[in-house]
Amino acid sequence: MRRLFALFILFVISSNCQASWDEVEFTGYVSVGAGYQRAIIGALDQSVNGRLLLNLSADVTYHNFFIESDERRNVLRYGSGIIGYHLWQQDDASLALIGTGYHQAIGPDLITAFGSQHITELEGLKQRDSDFLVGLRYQRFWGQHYWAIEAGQDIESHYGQQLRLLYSYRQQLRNWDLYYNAGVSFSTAKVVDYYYGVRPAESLSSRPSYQAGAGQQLHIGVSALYPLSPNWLLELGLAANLFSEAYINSPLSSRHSECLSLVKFRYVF
Amino acid sequence: MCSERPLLIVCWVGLLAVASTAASAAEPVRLKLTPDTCVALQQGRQCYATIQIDWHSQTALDLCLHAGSRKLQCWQASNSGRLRYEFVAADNERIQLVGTDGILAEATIKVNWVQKNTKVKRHWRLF
Repeated sequence: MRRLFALFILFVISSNCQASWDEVEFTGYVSVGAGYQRAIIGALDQSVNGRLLLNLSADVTYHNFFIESDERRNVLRYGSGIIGYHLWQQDDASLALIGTGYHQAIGPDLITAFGSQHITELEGLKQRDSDFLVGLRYQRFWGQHYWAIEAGQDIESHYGQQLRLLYSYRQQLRNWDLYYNAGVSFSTAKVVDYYYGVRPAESLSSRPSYQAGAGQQLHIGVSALYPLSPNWLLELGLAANLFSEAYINSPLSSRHSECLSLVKFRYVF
Repeated sequence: MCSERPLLIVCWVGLLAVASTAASAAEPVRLKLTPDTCVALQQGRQCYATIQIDWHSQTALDLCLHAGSRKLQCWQASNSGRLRYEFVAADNERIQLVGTDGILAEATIKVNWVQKNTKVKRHWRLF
């Protein structure tokens, strides 16, 4: 609900700028694909592995208002778009007010595109909802290089803060676009504890209680786009996240890192 | 009535034979591009494709294959030819077979794209 409210506010701000409809740009996408995941919480692997991944998204700009589809420069952000409003922009730089989800839900019952999914290994855990951070993003291009800094405050679930630095290099190789991505994120204790902490009421003999502190993630990845036809794109992605001790010391964590590979076919309309 | 039938059949066969001869004399040179389309991610970007160009003629000809203003290859006294052409261009390109009497056949390599250029500058999103 708060997401819709944030979207509405951004749209109202934008429409008050007397932009004409000629300035509206819309590109819609429907993608279908498959992925293989080894998540830091092993029980979550089944939310991706062996499943058909469906995604409906769009890129929209209307004056300074924008909606961006899921991030090509960060594969692990699969499925989460960004809504925002450009406060200032030039050809090679922009400062924007943004709203986006950084962390997906964790719990015994997850909502997927095909309905709810029950994960028995996580039974007894209280549901941790996906977040929605509102914040600022500064981004800059030079040549094929791109970097961005994002800082946000969650308004939906954990009410913590997160800072992200992202660098990406795009290589055009014949008709392919290859993106080499790296990023680092800093999350406050509120964020990490909300998702990776274990409350006393949730603890079991195999799952001791745990209170997490602030944590960091290092992200590396490669993604690729290839035009199959004027309406179809092939999209490949491979990415890994490395976690700090605040994450990996959690009884919920099964690994020190996570990885995700994706193959998607995207219809552009 | 019945006696007229054999004559009619002979006339039809004769007409068909004449038509067939005329068609083979005017048989055009066939030019085939495989594929004939190149797809790029964005409008205006160079598009890359390996195009197989085949041509065939009933009669032996001296001719040259042109891509735009460039001469790719020539054949002498040949009925057919094949060329693998590394296409690199941002726009459509005309492929022509040119003989001593002028253009014998032509086809176009079409360039399509997924994302059109728009009047609003948009550096931020590339899908």
